[in-house]
Amino acid sequence: MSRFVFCTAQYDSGDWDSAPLVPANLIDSIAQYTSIAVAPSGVNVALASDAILEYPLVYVTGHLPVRFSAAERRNIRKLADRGGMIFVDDHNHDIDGVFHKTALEEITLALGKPVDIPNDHELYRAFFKFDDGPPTTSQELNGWGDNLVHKTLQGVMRDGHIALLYSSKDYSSEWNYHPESKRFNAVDNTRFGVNVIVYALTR
Amino acid sequence: MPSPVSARRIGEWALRVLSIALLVVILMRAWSPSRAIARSETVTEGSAAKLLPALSMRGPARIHIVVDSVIPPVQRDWIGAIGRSGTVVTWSGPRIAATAATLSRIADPAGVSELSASVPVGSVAIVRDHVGVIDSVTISQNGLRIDIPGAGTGVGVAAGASTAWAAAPDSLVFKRLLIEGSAGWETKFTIAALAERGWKIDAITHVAPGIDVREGAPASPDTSRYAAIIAVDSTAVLVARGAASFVKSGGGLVTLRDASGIGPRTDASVVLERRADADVRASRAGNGRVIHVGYKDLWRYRMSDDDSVPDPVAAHRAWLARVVASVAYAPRIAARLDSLADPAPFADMVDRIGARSASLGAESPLRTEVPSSVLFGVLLISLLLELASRRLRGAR
Repeated sequence: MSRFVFCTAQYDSGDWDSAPLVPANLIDSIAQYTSIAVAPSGVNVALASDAILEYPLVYVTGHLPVRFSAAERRNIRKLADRGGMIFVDDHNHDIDGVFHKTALEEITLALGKPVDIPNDHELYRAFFKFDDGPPTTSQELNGWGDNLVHKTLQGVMRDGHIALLYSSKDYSSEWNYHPESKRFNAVDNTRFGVNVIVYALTR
Repeated sequence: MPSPVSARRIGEWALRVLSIALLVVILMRAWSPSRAIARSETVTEGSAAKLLPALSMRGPARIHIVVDSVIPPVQRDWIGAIGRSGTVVTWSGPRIAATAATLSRIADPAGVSELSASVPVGSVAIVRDHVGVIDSVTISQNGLRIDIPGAGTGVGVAAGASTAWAAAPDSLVFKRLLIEGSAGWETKFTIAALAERGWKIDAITHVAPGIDVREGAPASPDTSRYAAIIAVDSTAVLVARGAASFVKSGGGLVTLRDASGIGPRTDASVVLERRADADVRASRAGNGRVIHVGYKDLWRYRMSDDDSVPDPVAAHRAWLARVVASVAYAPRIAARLDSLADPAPFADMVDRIGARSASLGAESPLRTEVPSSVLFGVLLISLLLELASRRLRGAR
């Protein structure tokens, strides 16, 4: 049985590796909560390369302006059209920030304009149950970035499933810590990350 | 040496005998109508349609047809009926390709039918439906077998002067598929591909102990609900539990690489295809069939960026659908009789009017029969000659 491999996309512009501990943290959560066969470490794969198609769930994050190359845009389109999913998270937590503005422009160019995902979407029941939609992050509660608590996530749909999930909530900061530090949390804040992965693997 | 007068009398006697003989023949023809009109007709294929009504009325002793291609079914029936009423029917012409075609519906909701045709090696087969040409193929060996999407009516295969029309295929009753496996790309994309193909799916994806993602209403395998069951990996416990009895009662089982231990044990299997070190094997168990796919990570086929596959998603979908179709239990509903069907025209022609004979003159010259009107004319002339001869020599 081939194992699930967590993939972080390397794109040419911006700082794609701004949250290097997120993969290990989510892999740890998948291993801890589910019986999904998961590779112990993630991979970083160039978004412009054909190899990215071997990873139907791709994580994209950063702080800096994003400008996808033609090959990167083509691969995003291929991933979405073939049933894969791209999870894009704004590491700035700032809807006036450069990542948000440029990433949304690029996503719109590649796949179309993202729309709000209703908070009763099955994404929020894929494994753990989140009755109020996407869980808030400490970055939102602390007033960092745009000083807003974003009520919904956004997405581009293909054939009824989320082909691209866009978050302004800065889960990249929220989950960017060593997995062993989870024991200090009253509630594991990576649980929504488990939902994202289980949703991508099962819907 | 006889005198001129006695020679003349011998001639007069001869004329009398000839007249009486002709009279007897004419009377016999009149008394026996079938003999009276018995004669042979030679018609060409093009004129057959016009001449058949007249030939049916006249009922000649023999009809010889010169053909360029297989005679159309209606004329074939007609000529066969004339043959069965006592007329000897023969035909000759160039060698005609003995084509035959049959169309059978595959258990695939995309509406694919399989066309199998017998066409002589080396000929060009043109596949068409009632709307137009679908494809053309040069036959290299073993006839022709192609998938025709959406063939709701008959399909024709033309080779040389013969066109075989396969009847419209039967309809199928499509039941559901049960797919079970652990959460991963293989399970996800197997479900996706078959759902996209049009199958109704019940699926169980195991995510964690006691936590499954369910699609539809998965139930124990039963041929009243499922056409086929698919075990993606060894976690497919529901499929494994009912697989043996399901297959024995006629259902189909597909086991992917990581589910090789699931299903009834079979003694013999057939390798359907092989790539590198893995293969796809089929076997029978009771009334059902089992296919084991030995390839690893079929989902990568869907995601591949191989330029030789223009649409990998469609290719992955079609490949999986073909595997499922080869085992799926799908009851048939017979299609309406297709009046245009002519699945084996040459064989049907031989069956109805016999094998091709050599050209008419060379092998079977027809006995020429003089019409009764000519015989009557000869009779009158001979009587007149006999009368004139007697009167001119002064006899009464």
